[in-house]
Amino acid sequence: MFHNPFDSYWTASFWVGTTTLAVTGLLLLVLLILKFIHQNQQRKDHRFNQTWFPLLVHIALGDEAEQALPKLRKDDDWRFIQLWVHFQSSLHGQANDRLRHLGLQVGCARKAHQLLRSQHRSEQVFGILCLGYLRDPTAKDTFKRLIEEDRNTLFIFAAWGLLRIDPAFAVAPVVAQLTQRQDLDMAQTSSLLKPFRHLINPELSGALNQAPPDQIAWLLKLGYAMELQLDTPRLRPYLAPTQPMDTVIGALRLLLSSDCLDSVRSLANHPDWQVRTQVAITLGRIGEEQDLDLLLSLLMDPLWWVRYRAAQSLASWHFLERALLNQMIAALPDRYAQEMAQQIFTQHESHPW
Amino acid sequence: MQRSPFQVLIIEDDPFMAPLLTAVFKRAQFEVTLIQDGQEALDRLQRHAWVPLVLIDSMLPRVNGFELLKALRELPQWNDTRVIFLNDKDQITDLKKAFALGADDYLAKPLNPDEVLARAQRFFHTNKTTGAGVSQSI
Repeated sequence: MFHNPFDSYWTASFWVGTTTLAVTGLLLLVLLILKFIHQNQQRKDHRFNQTWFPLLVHIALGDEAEQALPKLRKDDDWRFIQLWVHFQSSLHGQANDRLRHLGLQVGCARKAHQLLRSQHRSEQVFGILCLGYLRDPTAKDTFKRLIEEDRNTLFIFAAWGLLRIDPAFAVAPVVAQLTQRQDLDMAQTSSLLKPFRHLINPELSGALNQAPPDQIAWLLKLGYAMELQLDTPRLRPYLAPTQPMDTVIGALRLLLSSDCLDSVRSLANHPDWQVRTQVAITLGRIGEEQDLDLLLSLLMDPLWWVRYRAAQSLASWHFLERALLNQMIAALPDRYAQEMAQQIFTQHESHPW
Repeated sequence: MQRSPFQVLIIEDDPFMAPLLTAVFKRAQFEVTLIQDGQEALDRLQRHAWVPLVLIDSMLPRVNGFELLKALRELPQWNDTRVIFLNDKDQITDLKKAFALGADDYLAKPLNPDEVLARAQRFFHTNKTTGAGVSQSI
């Protein structure tokens, strides 16, 4: 029988066309389903916010009667926790207690415990925040375990939660972990743990006494972030030029009084420019009238940053009138020092903060 | 219609904080105007009538709070309005900057609603803003 070769092309074209149509139809269907899910989600979000947002505002302000509380739908648990945590973190004072009472009433602790077991970090974090704001004592053991976790984000939030639930218990293990974890995000650590600095700082100060040399710089850095106040004599050993650069800088940043100024002055010729930069800042902060010559010499430093910081310190120098200071700077043999001072002084006059 | 002497202009874009601050002032019988954009606030400040008290958040879209505060203080008609500056960060440099630009008070978040109101009402009691007598009724 004669076989027409075009038949097979027609057959192939037919199936390619049919498959393309089927795939296109399927994609359209998936798009429609996704759109429906999205709209449904938006409707639920809208309905939830319409009910709970104004209620949380009123409760935070102490307006709402307890019997007016609507029932929290099961599929709104996660939305409620997000909203409630945001309110708690935006407010302080009695509003936190009122919101805590509401959280206990609607039973968000149960959902928060579920979130702790989630695989998603953001859900775990919200679970920790929720239980921390609730001061839920049943979360204590979980938080104790979490502060020993490798992941720094979970550690820092769990530390915050544990400090809220049982501060007396939490402070020692939290500080022990803080001293070990030298790769913590300092900004996050500071913003979460600074409210507990009255508890943490005595422990941190003790840890500094016993710390091995490789932890000193980190503890000083942590102390600065936590606004640790150390007696000047305790800082003096760390200001020796033989100390590592990080340690010297950490100690300089913590200096609050002029008792150690002799040590600070001796660092003005330190071979590391970062130390000299910190010396320029420190002299501007706690320096005395006699330190003017040292600041002028730092203004002529070969490194830009040192000159910049020295100029900033001179711009807020209160021991000498600006006209006299300008004369002294004009007499310097370094054009770059003069330009830097001129620029910073002009900036300081227009933006004195 | 007679306007309330207790007017406050709130310039805040945070979707949580804006309604909360509005509620705080409304329940204390203030007449509240809320603006949630820096540029829009700047336009309104240039066009609209003086109000005795303005709350400015530091983080605003298009024109930030510091720029807005500076601009407000450069407008003669807003010279004697009281400004409470709100900031997300409790940083001394920001506080200094806000005061240098002309803020009368500074509050770092998280905020205590009762404290915000007390600080605002203080201006009406000590009054540079509304005139004697009015403040006594708060």
